This record gives sequence, structure tokens and C-alpha cells, in this order.
Amino acid sequence: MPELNIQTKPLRDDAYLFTLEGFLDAHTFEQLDETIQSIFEKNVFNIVADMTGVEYISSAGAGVFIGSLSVAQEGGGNIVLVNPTENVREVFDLLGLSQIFMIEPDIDAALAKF
Amino acid sequence: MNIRFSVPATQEGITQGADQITSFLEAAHAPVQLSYHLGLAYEELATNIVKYGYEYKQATEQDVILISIELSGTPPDASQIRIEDHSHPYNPFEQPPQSDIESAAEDRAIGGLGIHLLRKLASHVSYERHDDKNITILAFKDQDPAL
Repeated sequence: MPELNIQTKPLRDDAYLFTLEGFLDAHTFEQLDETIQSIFEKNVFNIVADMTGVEYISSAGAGVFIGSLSVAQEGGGNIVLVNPTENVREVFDLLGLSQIFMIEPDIDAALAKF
Repeated sequence: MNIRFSVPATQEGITQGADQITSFLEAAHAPVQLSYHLGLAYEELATNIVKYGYEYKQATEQDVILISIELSGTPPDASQIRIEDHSHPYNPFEQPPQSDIESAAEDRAIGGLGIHLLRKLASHVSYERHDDKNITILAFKDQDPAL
């Protein structure tokens, strides 16, 4: 069964890195949602999501990012996506999310956006 | 190459079906993009059936989702997925196209985001209610068979 692996680590006092690997779908999206909420509860609202290892994303997965973005922005932060694969990028493009999210090639470039 | 099978109309059933589709597409040497689109179509439609088709009635072992996939071309460059279920009448494509994606995301209670995605991905979509079944068909054309 395809799974999602999430690793988190602080990049700065006000920013966390999420390294995501695997499948972000209707089966795994709650795992990401809960992890993001746990970071917001620390009053950290800047998130860099390294998407390099995400093989598959469906609307359930994309919906987590959309829902979390407004919370991040209300907290004075943002969510920046790093290096999505071609398949993931296509889903973001078709949903119009590439215009809503900042997408950067690497973590340093993403961190510079905060 | 074709495949036709059924899975229980449950979250576990969806996962079983996804594994079967992956194995079939690998055996058929389907291109990456076509496989990705079929996988998405299956997940979005089957998830909608489980979440909304049975929101008023608990699905039983007899409640199944029937999946048929047809690949055409050598190597495959076009495909059609047909999904049938016995839940209450529900045409996913009756919803108007979503223009405001942030609103669409907030409106996930009716599965709007996934259907919006499928409308964009598929070359053709259709729905009919026949013999107390919802029958949804999506067709895909690989834009770059070399992928």
C-alpha cells in the first residue's frame, strides 16, 4: 500500500522544513494535515515543503496545502513548495495552485521568501 | 489490453483497487503520464462514491464499485476508465466548473476540487444513470507517448 513519509525539522525559529516522500492522496492526506497543524500550534507559520520525493498527489493532498495556506497567512507566514516532480506540478498547474503558491527550486531559495 | 474488476465500496476497497490498477498498467507498459492520469481518475471518482454515495447508507459487502479500463495503441497512448456503482444517483459533472480555486477547496464537501481536476485532465467525460447504476466514463489521450 503506497504510504506517505513526513520528516520535519526547524530551519529557523520561525520556519519549519517538511520533507515529504511517497503518495499524498485520500489515504494519507490527514497525516500531512495533522503534522502541519502541530507546527501551527507551536506558533510557527512559515513552512517549506520539499516535494522532491512526492510521487503522486490527488485533490485530497492538494486540498491540505490550500487549507493550510490561509491559516499560515493569517498567522503572518506562508507555505513555499520546493522542487515538485512533473506529475505533481501538473496537478498544481491544472488546479491553478501554481499561481497561489510560491514554488522554488531549492530550500535556500524557499527560505529567502519569508 | 483491458481489465475489469470490482472492489468493495470502502476506503480499504479503494486501496485494493489502486494496487490492481498499478499492476495492470505496469504489465501493459503504459506510459507514465497516462498511468498517472488513470490513477488520479480512479482515486477521485472512487473516493467520491465512498464518501458521498454512501453518506446516508452504510456500504455493505454487496456494495461494490465496478472498474473497467481499456488501453489502446502500442505502446498504449489512449485509455478509458469506466466506473459503476449502485449508490444514489449522482452526476459528478453536473457541478458548474470551479473558477475560484480557493473557494473550491473550501467546498470539498461536494468533492469539487477533484472533479475540477478531472475535467481538466480528461479529453472526454460522461455520466449516465442506467439500471439503478451510476456510470461514469473518462477518456484520456497521452500527449507525449515518449514520456
